[in-house]
Amino acid sequence: MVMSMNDMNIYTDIYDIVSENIQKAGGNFQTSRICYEKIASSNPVTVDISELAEIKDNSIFLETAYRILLQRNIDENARKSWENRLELPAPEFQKLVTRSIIRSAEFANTKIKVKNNIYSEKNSFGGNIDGIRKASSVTMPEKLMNMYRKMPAPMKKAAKKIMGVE
Amino acid sequence: MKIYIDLSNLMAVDFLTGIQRVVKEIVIRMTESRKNELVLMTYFHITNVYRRIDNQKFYDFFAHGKGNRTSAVTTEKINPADIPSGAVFFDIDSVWNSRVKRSWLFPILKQNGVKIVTQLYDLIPITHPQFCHENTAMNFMVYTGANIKYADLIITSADATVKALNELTDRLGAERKKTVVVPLGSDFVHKDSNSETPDKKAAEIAENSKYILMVGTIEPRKNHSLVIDALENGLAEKGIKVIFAGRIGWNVEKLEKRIKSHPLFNKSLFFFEKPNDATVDMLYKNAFAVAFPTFNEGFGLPVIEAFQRGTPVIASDIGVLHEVAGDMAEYFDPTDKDDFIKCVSRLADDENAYRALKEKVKKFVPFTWNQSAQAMENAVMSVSENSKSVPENTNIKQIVCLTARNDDILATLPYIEKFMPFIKEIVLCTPDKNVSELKKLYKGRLDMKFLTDSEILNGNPLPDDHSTRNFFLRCLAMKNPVIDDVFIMTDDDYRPLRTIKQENFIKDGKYLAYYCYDLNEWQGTYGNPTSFDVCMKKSREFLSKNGYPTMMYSSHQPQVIDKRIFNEMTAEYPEIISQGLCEWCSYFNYGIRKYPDMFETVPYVSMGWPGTRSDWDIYVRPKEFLFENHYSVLYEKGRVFYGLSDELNDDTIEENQIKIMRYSEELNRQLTDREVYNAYCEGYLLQYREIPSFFINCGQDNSITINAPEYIVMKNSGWTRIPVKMKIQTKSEKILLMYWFSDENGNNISAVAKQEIDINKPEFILPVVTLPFKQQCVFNFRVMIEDKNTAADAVMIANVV
Repeated sequence: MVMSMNDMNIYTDIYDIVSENIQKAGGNFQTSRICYEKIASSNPVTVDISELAEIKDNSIFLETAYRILLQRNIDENARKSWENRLELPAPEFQKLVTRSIIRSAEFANTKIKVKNNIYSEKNSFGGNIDGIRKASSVTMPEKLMNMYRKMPAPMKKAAKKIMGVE
Repeated sequence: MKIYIDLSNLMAVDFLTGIQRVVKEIVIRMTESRKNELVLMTYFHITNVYRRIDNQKFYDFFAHGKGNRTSAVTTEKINPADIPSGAVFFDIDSVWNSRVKRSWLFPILKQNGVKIVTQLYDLIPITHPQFCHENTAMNFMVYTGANIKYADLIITSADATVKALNELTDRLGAERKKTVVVPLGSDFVHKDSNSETPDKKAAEIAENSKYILMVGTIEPRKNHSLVIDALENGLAEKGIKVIFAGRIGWNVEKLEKRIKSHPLFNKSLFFFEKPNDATVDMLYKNAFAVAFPTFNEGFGLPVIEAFQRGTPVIASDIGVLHEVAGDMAEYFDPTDKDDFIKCVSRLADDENAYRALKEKVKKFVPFTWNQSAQAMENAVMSVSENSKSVPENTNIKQIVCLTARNDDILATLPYIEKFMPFIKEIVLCTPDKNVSELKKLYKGRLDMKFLTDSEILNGNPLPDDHSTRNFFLRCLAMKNPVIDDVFIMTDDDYRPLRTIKQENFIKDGKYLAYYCYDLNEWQGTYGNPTSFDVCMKKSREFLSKNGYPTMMYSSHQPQVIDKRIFNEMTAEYPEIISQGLCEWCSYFNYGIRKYPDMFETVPYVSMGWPGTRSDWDIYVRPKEFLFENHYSVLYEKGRVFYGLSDELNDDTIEENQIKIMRYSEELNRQLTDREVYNAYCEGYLLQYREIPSFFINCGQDNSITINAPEYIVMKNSGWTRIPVKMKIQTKSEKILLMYWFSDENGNNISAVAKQEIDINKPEFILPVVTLPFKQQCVFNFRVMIEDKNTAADAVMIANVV
């Protein structure tokens, strides 16, 4: 079930009220409003990475990725290790963070599943081919298939195994 | 009535503090009083599911210390989406830090007509966030928002919490919640402590000293510092000692250090960490006074625990403590140590004043846990008390059908006559021109009545669109006295397959509501929605907007309708009459939300919906088939019912058995296809830690990026459905998605399938026709922005099994 913007209003309104309360008491929230929004709309079982990637600020992304994917605050060591890469372009930084978290044993223990992982280490295709004219013709990248075709049978078998089709 | 309780926090902690003690006392009593109705559950993080707790083992452990809490957790999984309508979800545990956010859980429960009752202990993380760990505050904010939005009833232990809640809802512009105040009990039965003995050191100090006691977690809000300040500034000189009993909480590192390195530590200042119940009991009984310098509190359990043992209390001058302690306590300003010292000195120096206060305390009549539990239980049950129920003497005799097709209804009527013996009367809502022929041709046993279009419309124009017309006519017809209060609504092609009784519509005092889908999941024909699909979409929008569940009840079978509820709906929302909603979906979701005790939701029992397995994926599998949604095309050569008669005859019962077998097989094939896909997803998840999915980004600059799975597995000779999500930033509205299969040499081995993207529905399920044979090949996936002449391809190994 996807939370609509109307659903979200009550949560963000509360954030604003409580932020005001803590400011009156001389404090401040470290957790950003965006991170909080993601917590409020989080699904305990599955995380949609494409939704996390809507965050444009690297620092907020980092904070949120830890909260959503690892269910905890980012620790000081991790923060320090990412600090000098905060200036990277967002897609690059986010890709590094996401991959690092998803590869970790800690993430495996959370049993959280991810979907629409645009930072996946696997198939990502882009480009701008002359699609309309070639749409109905043979389109498989020759490079990939040439490599496969040239493989001896045992290697083909191994390749298939790696791909999980055997 | 089933009562579900999530005990994830109680089951996880090894030391019970205030809230867990409350939860324990209430729930053990409910396991006694609501034996068979109580469903206890805990979130099992290892597998990310709820598991049921064995009530008896829970009781044995928490009431008598027998067994252990782990063994009380069974292997039975509980899916929140399966909690039935009419049940109550009683959220009494401190679950805000749970992974299962209430912002996620409560909409699912409301969808099913489950009532939500929450025990709200306080609103401190909202009103005084500075006293909470930030994560707790964040989680509590989400929890509070969900409760304000979805809870049917909030139970608090003090008026002060109701006041704070009302202030918050007013500030949010939300409706004030229905609340009940139930004071907490204080007669902690020391069943567990009977076998325990007090800590020796604590006992020695308690028996030989005059001391001020503070019980509770060491945390900033509790204001332990003030008592230490007071000790340093006069109390120690008076020979008064200070004892803290509790556990170390959050953000008190400095305070802990101050206590443990204090020159008076273990001389005049003592700290007993995580003391057992017997120690706490002994400390309370022997204390000169109990100090409660808290800045804010939801209830103040230590106050009544002290009173219960006849010990005076010196408490913060805050509203909630006045509410709990009344004139039986001495009050002071929690920001002023001198005021506290004055208070203590007054009692220490004036024996008469101290004795008088003790006398007052003796008169304290504790609210017992039995009383608390009973009051809470009454509150929980009250959410259903005012619901209507289906009158016991309800007898259905009438079936109402909207039809413009005489042939169809005339072919269906013999089935109704034969298999629905309780039906005595049929009301046909039909065009005027059809009436004379129907009168002439129908010779059956039913008393046939007519509501003609002209009678129904009464001068109103008839809408053109099929669904809009149907809903409009049904809404108007429902006002006509010829229609009984409770009747069976049907279409002219819904045929019973065997004998149907009234119990198939009203059971155990509830109307059965047969659902087939969740409107949020219903995609229909992607890219080219039918009138039916549009009707579903409009219904979903209406229901969501007005806070109703969104299950789909257009199950293509007869269903029972209470026209009083239907008319109540159209009176409340008169504008919908001409909006072309689904009559089944709007009525049932409205009714279930308004009168959950009158309805029970059950999976549909109709055959022929879908007509063929490739039409759409079933959401819920019918457990049996009682009706056929009759499509004559299914009797044609090569189709599922070919060779069987679609007219009532002597062999109908036997033929219906064959139909059910064939149709079940058809559904099984769809499910097998799905199982193959699900197994692939599971395997993929294990291998790559992610669910295989297609994500397509169409950039502002018309560039395209596709994230696709490494490989794909699908069943041959069938359909599979792949979830696709698009992020569309391009201004173009002509996005085309294509797929085809090719062999390892790059030769196409299937036709190229094309699908135009509905830019208003960027997340969808792509129906993919698989190969008619087993083959390891390549799945080609192409996205094109047609008018911008850009495209991108993704290729992956496909294993068609």
